[in-house]
Amino acid sequence: MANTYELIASNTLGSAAASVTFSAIPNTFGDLLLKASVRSTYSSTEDSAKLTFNGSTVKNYPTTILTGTGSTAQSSAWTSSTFSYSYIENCFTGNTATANTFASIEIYIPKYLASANKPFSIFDTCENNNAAARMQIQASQWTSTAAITSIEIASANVVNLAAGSSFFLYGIKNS
Amino acid sequence: MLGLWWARLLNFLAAVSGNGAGGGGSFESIATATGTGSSGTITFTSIPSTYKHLQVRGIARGGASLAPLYFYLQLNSVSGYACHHLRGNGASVDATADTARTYAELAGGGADSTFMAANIMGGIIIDIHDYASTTKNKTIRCLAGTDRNGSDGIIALSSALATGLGTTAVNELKLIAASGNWTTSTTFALYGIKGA
Amino acid sequence: MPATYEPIATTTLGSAAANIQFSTIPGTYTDLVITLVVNTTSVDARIVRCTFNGDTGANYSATRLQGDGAVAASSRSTGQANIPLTLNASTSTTIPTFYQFNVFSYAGSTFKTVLAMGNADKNGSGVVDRTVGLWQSTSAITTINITPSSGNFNTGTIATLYGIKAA
Repeated sequence: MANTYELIASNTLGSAAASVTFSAIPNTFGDLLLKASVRSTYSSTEDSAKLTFNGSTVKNYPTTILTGTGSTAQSSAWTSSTFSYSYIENCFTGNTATANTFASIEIYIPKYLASANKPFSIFDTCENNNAAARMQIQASQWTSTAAITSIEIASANVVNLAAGSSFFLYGIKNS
Repeated sequence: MLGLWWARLLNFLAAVSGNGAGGGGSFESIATATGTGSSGTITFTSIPSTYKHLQVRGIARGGASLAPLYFYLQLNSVSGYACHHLRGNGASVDATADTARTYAELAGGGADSTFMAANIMGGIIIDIHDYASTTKNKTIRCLAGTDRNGSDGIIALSSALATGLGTTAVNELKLIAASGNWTTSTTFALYGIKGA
Repeated sequence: MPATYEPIATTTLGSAAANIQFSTIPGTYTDLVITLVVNTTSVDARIVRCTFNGDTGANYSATRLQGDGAVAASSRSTGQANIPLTLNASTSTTIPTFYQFNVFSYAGSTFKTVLAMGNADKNGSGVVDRTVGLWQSTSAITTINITPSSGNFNTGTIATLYGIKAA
């Protein structure tokens, strides 16, 4: 019996790195699920992420966001004309946060092979033992009809992902 | 307490026989526990370290639970959690933080048996990434909610950092009712997600 | 014996339809998960709703946490003829939207609780939400119907029903 929920690849950083890329994603699944535990070297308690598909830096990554900051609930949105990547604000634990602490992120990408625009969901928590820690959900899109063959994750502030950050890409079959 | 040896044996036998039972690839069932009606604690012990992530799924109903329908999670019987919530009650939304809690306080899933109609249950999904790491502090992420066809329903996102646990691997997980006992209709299932 | 996480059925619309139905759902799993990508709907800004076992009585309700890109808010629906899984203004006539909902202990003897996520970014005018729904019935779920609040799901809409089996 084919496995429904199957690890495609993983990457746990033994040393800091500028980005993590999953390439040559097989076309044998229906959906993709990325689970990550991430810290960056950005000099703050939080850092923002950029996610790109197929190396595309065309400005076609809009998103709608609901955020809790520990004291405020707020909603915001970025249109496709804003960023050349999917921008996930303050979702990585930064370098000045409590030691050994990493953000928890889950990204679900349904129908990644469909010849239609790609909606996907994000749920991330940036716990750092700080009252102002951020938690958010995002409804995002990649407005491209291309099948997703690669995913790159990096810091939007162009610093390194810290050693110990881990990324697991799973494929989920539809039948 | 719940021994897990029999669940692991079943998974092993299923893998050997090749019929996929207990499998599903990287997502595997570890154990299930049901409320007794006479205890407010459900415990998963001897959690194997062979997975990469844990997920708890369940329906729950406990004793009196003030809004926002808290229930608690405790790892390795350790105290000390920094908690955050983003929650809606059907009329308003708020975000809160408390960095010095005894347990991980998770909102929304603790259906209250004192004022909610019988058979109303909270729905809960809890995720813990890298639970067996010995170099990372553990972060708990939760989506939970209870609706009662009226006011006082809650849908909430919660997170908690197990500050008291440090970088110790998780081998025990307790789900604790905010008050009173878990009903016999309460059920939690623990799943492991492989990383290799 | 079912696997832990297993697809039960997938429906891909080859033409527009007002309804997606999963029927004769086996009672051998613990939870159900439905993943739905709505290619588009024939009418803009529809609510995605579900009913169980053909029950269209006022036996459903929901509480919702939502963000529309400008305002964070919460809303509720009581005494409904279905569970509204998303906020109003969710679907689009031009942009695919994504929903996933979990039905817990669907074969059990308590009321049925649903946790849903709605992901309907519409390039500045969309919505992201999380919903808890309730079906006030102790019957095991054997049928699920998913509909837009009016109009059709268009060609290319895909729904997959998964079963999750606890030990």
